Amino acid sequence: MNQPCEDFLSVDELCHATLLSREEIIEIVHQGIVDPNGNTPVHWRFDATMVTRVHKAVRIQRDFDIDWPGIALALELLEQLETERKKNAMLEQRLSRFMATARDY
Amino acid sequence: MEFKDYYKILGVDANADATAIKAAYRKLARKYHPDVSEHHDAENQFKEVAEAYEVLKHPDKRAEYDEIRKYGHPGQSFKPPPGWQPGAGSTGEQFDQDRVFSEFFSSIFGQGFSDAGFGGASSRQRHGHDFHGGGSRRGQDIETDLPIFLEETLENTAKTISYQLGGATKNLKIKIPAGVNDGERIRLKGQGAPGLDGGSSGDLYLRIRLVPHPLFDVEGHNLIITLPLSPWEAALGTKVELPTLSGKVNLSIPPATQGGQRLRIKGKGLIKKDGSHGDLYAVVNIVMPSARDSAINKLWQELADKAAFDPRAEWRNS
Repeated sequence: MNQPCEDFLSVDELCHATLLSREEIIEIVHQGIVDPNGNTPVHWRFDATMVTRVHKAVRIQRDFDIDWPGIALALELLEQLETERKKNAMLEQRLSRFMATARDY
Repeated sequence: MEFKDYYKILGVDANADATAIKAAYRKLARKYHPDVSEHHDAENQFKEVAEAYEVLKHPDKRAEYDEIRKYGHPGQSFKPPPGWQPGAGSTGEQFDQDRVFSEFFSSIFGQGFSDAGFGGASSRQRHGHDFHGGGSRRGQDIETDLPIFLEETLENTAKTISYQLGGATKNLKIKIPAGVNDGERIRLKGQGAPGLDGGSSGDLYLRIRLVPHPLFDVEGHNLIITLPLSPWEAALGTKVELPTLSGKVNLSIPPATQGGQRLRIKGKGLIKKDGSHGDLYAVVNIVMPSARDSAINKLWQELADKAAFDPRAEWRNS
């Protein structure tokens, strides 16, 4: 049985996993793309959600050739879109439950 | 092996210049990029587009492809011409694991081509984080969805997942901790792609997706259920047996309950990481009986004659 790993990644480990340089990781944090625990790069720790967000930022950088501020904006808007889509799907489902109940009688 | 017309994939003429090719790629990337698109086949569509662009954006590779294109026809089986050396013009560097290319691509360019200039990968490798000692390289992290039923989030659950690794299906038994929520990621160390030349394996990241439930909707850690009531149950109050994720509970409906009213059942929502629970909300839906029953209609008429109730009183004051 495999247990989830709850260790957070350090800057060096994140560099290793994403093939980004330390300077790029620092730039990503300064752009607000991820907000690690800890105050300075030496103490920064990245959880699983942050790591996957950095991976996503890297993919967008590679495939769209845009700079980090642009990526930060794109990620922000994509997440807003996903939140709204989820909310919309949930409200549609709730509405359909109401309508289905009304039709049954 | 099917021939791929990279010009057709990008929707450009064979004599299109670099600017037109770049513009076509960017437009299609915005449409199909898996991180951006909701298109059901976005990932496969984008792979085709990215592969086409990787070839056509490099003048020397484009020229190489143009030669090959004389022998192929879209949608038809393709064999490289006799004597063709895959990747003869490439740099001979390591194959880039960032992308997966088609068999057609590899037959023309070999594996060595991809590292010569694929997105940011080659520039990133210069930072040296992927090479250690004698050129070992860490395997890639992999991210995949993990659908979870709401009931499974209430306690630690064992699940077997299947995912694609190097063209094969890998099965893995994992423990999912109680309290996971939609969109959360779980990291499994060393279960990603294997490293090269002694490099460590990447990690596997599971993105939790809560499976829609036939009765309950999710709002954070709270659950919502639609509770149908008859008009007289709503008027007089009653007791109902209400389903929850962990069995049934009795719920008292107070007299004069309104349609749309939310009744809270404390602690019957989803479990949180700290062990506490969210709440369950029953949203009242007042349902009318059939109008064809004359005996019931007679009772409604009696009520209408006696009740001094105007549901549209607010309109009269506006």
